[in-house]
Amino acid sequence: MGSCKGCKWWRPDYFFDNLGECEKMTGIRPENEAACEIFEAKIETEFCWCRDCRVTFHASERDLHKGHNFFCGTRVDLDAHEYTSTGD
Amino acid sequence: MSTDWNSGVWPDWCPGCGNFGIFTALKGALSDLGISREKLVLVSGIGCSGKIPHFVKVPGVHTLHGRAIPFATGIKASNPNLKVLVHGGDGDLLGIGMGHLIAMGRRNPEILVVIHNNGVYGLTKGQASPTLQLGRKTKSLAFPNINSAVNPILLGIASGYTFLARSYAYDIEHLKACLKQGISHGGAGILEVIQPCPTWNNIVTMDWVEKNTYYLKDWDPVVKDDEDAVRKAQGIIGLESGEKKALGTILIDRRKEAFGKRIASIYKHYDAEPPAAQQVERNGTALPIDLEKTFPRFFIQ
Amino acid sequence: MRMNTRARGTKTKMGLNFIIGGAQGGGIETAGLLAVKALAMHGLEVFADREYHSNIKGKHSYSHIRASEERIRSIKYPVDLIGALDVETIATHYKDLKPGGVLIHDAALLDKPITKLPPMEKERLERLKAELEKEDIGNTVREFDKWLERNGRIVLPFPFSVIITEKAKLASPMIERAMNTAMTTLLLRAAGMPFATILEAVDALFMEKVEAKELNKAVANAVNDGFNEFSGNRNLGTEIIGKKRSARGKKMLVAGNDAVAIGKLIGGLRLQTYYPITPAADESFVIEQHSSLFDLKGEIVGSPIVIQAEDEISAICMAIGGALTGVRAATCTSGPGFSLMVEGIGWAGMNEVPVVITYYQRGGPSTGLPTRHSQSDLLFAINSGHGEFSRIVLASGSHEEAIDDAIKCMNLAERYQVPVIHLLDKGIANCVTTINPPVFGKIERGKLTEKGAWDYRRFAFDGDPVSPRAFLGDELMWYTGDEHDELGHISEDPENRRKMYEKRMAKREKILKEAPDEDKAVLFGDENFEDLLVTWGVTTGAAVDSLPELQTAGSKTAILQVRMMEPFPVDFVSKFISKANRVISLEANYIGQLAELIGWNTGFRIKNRILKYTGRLITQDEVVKSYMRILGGEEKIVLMGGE
Repeated sequence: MGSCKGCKWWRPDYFFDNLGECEKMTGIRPENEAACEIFEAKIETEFCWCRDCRVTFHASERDLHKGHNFFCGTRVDLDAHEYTSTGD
Repeated sequence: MSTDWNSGVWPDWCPGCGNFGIFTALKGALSDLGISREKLVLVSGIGCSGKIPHFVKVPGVHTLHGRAIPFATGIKASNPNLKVLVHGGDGDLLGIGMGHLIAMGRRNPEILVVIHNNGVYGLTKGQASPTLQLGRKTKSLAFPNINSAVNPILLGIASGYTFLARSYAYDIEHLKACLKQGISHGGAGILEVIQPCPTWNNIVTMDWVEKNTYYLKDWDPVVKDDEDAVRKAQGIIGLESGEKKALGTILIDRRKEAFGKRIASIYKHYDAEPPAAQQVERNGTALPIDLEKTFPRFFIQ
Repeated sequence: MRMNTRARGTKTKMGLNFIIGGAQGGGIETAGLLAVKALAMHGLEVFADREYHSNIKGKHSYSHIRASEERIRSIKYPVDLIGALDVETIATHYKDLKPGGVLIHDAALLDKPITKLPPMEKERLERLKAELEKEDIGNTVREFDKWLERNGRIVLPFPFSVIITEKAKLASPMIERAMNTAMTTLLLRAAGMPFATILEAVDALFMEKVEAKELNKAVANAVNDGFNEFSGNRNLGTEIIGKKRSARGKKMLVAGNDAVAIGKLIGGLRLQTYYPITPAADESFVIEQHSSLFDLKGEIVGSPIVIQAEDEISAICMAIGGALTGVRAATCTSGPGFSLMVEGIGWAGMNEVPVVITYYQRGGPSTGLPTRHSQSDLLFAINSGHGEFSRIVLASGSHEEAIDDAIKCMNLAERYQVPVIHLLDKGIANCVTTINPPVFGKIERGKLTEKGAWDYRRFAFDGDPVSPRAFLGDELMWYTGDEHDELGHISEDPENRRKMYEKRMAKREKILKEAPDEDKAVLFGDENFEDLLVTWGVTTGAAVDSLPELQTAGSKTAILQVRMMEPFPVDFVSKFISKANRVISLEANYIGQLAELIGWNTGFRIKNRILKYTGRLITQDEVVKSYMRILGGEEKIVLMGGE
């Protein structure tokens, strides 16, 4: 049996990617939390987020991320914009 | 898709940024078109969208805020054999650089301008951009926007653009098709790409796009003659007056001469030897110009 | 009317110094040009200043023309002759006429009031009225003429209107052209020019414009007949300009705008971008009109293009874009346009782009005096742009230099891969002068990479601050206004930052080390000088022309014309400064910008400054007089000459 990390519903935090959120359930979940009854192992969306490359990529570029940890998406805090600084 | 189009530079856009969609579609379009890498130039402005040339493995010129179009125009006029694309944000191309956008329409160079339209100035913390609608208040605004939005498609018509299209950053196939069409078009083009900014724009989200856009059907964008041009312009005003944004190719007008042709009509050597193909020296000295023949009026007889 | 023989007594060499003035847009420009052409064809060296308002039609405008057997580089007051096409010219310039000098105007003006001059600026008019009142002159041109004659000037009211209507019998009614040609003809005849030369000048000026040529010839003939009748009983100081001199090789007659255009074209310019501005726009016109470059066999060897941009921001950015494709690209502008270009120049500095900006200074700040002279942008040109980057600022002091420097600037830009500002001024831009045809020099394209070199790094660190350049279309390369790595990708790494920063800045030393002395500064006069006049730009001409008089007046005097303003040739300039007993700066601005620049760089404070900021040229006589005042103990002098 896998953990949240391998589930299509789990979204790692962009910054603290050992922690994340489930699309289906509330609360913070660590990557290694044991899989629950809604676990689905097939990570396949048009755009995925690769934790190794830290980049959003398109399904057509899947080959570039062979063996990487990627997810159906990522998450940031709703008020993350308050933490950013001007950059340009 | 050929993996060869990634430069290897880490794209530092926020997760979920619409730029990833544009990046993907662009690489796809370049692959499909089969243009030699060296013959392409991506010219960009400032901001998140301005970084795109660094991520694509083709020659890139990341310029000044609002000024990508003049750089691109200089490049294209000097070496018409290059395929030149401009990437810029809505703040860049429709705010600080608006004058250049209009001037480009008047010239009609073979350059496609891709407007990454996310309604905000992302890299400076989400201020309202020229496309943010009146009365809207995105995350970082203290008050609702007190300026009306500009419509790049209508602006394109008024300025003389000969290719106009709108797409959505996350519809890769549609966007790729628009890019290919725009890059292959022999004149000035605007491709407006509606692009969510997950960090700053809490209005133009994926949901919003689904509800507020539609794909053009039974719309023939190709202008046939002068009469048709007037009909099309009126039709486009009608389209753009609707509540929902039309996605698709809106205008293709192949009747107008491109800038290169216009230059060649004055400078007869231009087609055979554009500036980049001309020699300026022979064996390290100036060309043997006959001054009296070239500049007769400055000589005292 | 009575004659004054002093007119002939004052001259030592053959030559002529006169003003022809009238309302702007009424043909006065052509009149000046015709006179200048004729004088040049007579074998004389010519220098002519054109002064005009920021206006299309109606305000006062004039040409101040000086001709001599020897090379001449400045204007000088007072003048021998004034040709006044309207009352305002008389009212504006009567004080410029030397004792014994001749004022010519249409007899039809005699009964006109001298102070009814709506186009005249009210300050000027008030001064005029006060003068008239003080001297109790009266209010008509006739009374004014009488007063002038009482004061030793000769006035010749000539029946131009009558001659044009009755004698010239013009087929088409071109009154303005006719009047200007008539005046020029009379002026030149009064100065002793053979009529045949005037006709040749008409031919040369109007070239293929047959109708205008015939009309002007008819007018000239009629005036010449009238003059011959007149001169039967008058001595007008003829033979001022002497006999026709045989040409010593081919000569050219150019304005500074023409000179730079010619230089750029010889130098391989292939893309010129610009936005209309005074006094720079004429340069782009000239390039457009001569965009087919012919070799000796008549074949076209080059065809540069000119693009009129939507603003100066676009102009500089387009030029940079062109330069990235390997084209020799340039733009030209004046202060307000340069202000807009600054961000682009910074980008070129950051990206090591060879681009040339021809910068004609005019009176500022803001719109300032759009058509008037100034040298007040030296420090701006040097310091423009945020951040630090290498650039070259080269200031020409004459028309010959303007041509050579235009070529040189393009070489320097490519050799060092930096933006180069060719700094000129309205004086050079608009003054017309005779020059020797330029000698073609070297074309240096700088370090280039082999085509198809894989793994190309545009900003490679290889010991030399100048990396091999490749052009868009040949290699994979990136450019960005952000700090970048060797490939041209954004990098904020501190070590890369330091290396890239130092690579860019190290060019300053390299440039200075390799620059020939004549590009840095030029010394005129006694090498064992005691007094040293430092100057630059068109003002150099007035200083050099006055040198013989300065040397008579003072101790051993020399002039140092500084040419390379950035990077500043500290050692070379210090060598001269440290030798001098007294250093005097001479320039057309308020603070003495060259003096300040020398101060920053050498630590030597120049106390004596001769300055002018009225928008008019510094003249030869002003240099002499102010130098005497400095010798007399004055520290700073502000000049006011010219209208």
